[in-house]
Amino acid sequence: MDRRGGFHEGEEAALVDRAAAGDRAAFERLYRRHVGRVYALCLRMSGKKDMAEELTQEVFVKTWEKLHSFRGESAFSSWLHRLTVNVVLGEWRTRYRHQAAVAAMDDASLFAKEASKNAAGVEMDLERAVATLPLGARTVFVLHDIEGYGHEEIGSLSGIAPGTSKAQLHSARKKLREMLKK
Amino acid sequence: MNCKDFQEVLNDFIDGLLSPEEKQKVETHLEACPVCREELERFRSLIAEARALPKSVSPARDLWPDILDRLEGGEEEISAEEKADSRAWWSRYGFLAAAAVLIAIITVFLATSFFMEREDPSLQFAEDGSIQVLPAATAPEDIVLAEAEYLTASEKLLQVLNERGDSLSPKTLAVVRQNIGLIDSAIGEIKGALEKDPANPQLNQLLLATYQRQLKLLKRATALPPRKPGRGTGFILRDSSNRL
Repeated sequence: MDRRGGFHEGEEAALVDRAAAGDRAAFERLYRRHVGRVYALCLRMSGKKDMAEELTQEVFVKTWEKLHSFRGESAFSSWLHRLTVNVVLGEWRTRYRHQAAVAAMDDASLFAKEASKNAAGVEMDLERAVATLPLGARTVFVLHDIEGYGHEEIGSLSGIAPGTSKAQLHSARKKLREMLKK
Repeated sequence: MNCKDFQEVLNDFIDGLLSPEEKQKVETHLEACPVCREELERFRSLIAEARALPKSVSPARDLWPDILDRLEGGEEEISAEEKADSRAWWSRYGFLAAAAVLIAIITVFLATSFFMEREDPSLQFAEDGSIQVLPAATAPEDIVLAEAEYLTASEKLLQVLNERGDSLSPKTLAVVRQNIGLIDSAIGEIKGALEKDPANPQLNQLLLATYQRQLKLLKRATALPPRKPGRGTGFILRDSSNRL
């Protein structure tokens, strides 16, 4: 029997069909099933709880609106994951539209501030260290090292060159190493 | 390879992006350099820790009530039942409606293109041949306002066109009326599709763009110079200096 997180695959497909037809109870079950995964991604990409909550809500509203376009060619969880990444990156583009791309979104002063806290003896775990990375480095680190995306895919999602994605990843790892003193 | 060279290729080595020759050079260096071996292990440990982070984190509060509010707020005009019917209709006949609308729009675009400026600001052909509708306000109130504006303006312009019908050549008038009919037909096709899928943003944008095109055609037609005495045919088709 193929079960994932308490759902038969067939059961999930039926819920998706029902939700796409306007059944909110079915959609709520999908929400309960997937909210942890969506929230974790939003939290790590944004680095802030309140923003992660807003983004998670936005993801599920978009999911409701776009469910009819889900063709079932991939697993619903994969489709939702990609939608989440798109919603978060779309939010960055809106918030930082005066900057060209994720590559340009660095807040060096924030990083320096957090790094100095660490130097002063504040213990930092990996989650907290990731949250203090500059936006571009954090985005690429979360997508590549935590979520397993390749540089080509990150490039196509975020609009940066694969080479830029690699450079951001290297920068992120180096900064994390410094912060964590591993 | 020295330690500095190793630092430059460290990440590519970890991610398996080096060529076999480069990889061999790194491995040879690592065998002889305990400092770089330790550095490599630190990075690998960091990446392993990142990959082992929990993939699911529960939010501190239940977000469903807020999401439900937004879903209900966004569907004041379309009930869930209507939405379901719309989806069912669209999945069954949507491709036919889309094809009809597309054919109507392409026909209008091609048939009326000689009347227009080279580029329509709201409707363009993409490189792949598809029609691109540029972003426009498509909130329901915008559509209603645009429709009201279109109906008022088109009525006035048609009246003007009828009043000065004798001053235009019969051929010019026939071309204008034929194009008005084509655009009216396209508007009918789009509105028919919108009845089945009222919230479709592309259809709403197409409707606005088609209204704009119709108005532009009418304005240009009513502004045509009168035919010259003794000329029985439409000069706009032959005189490029007066081409619209």
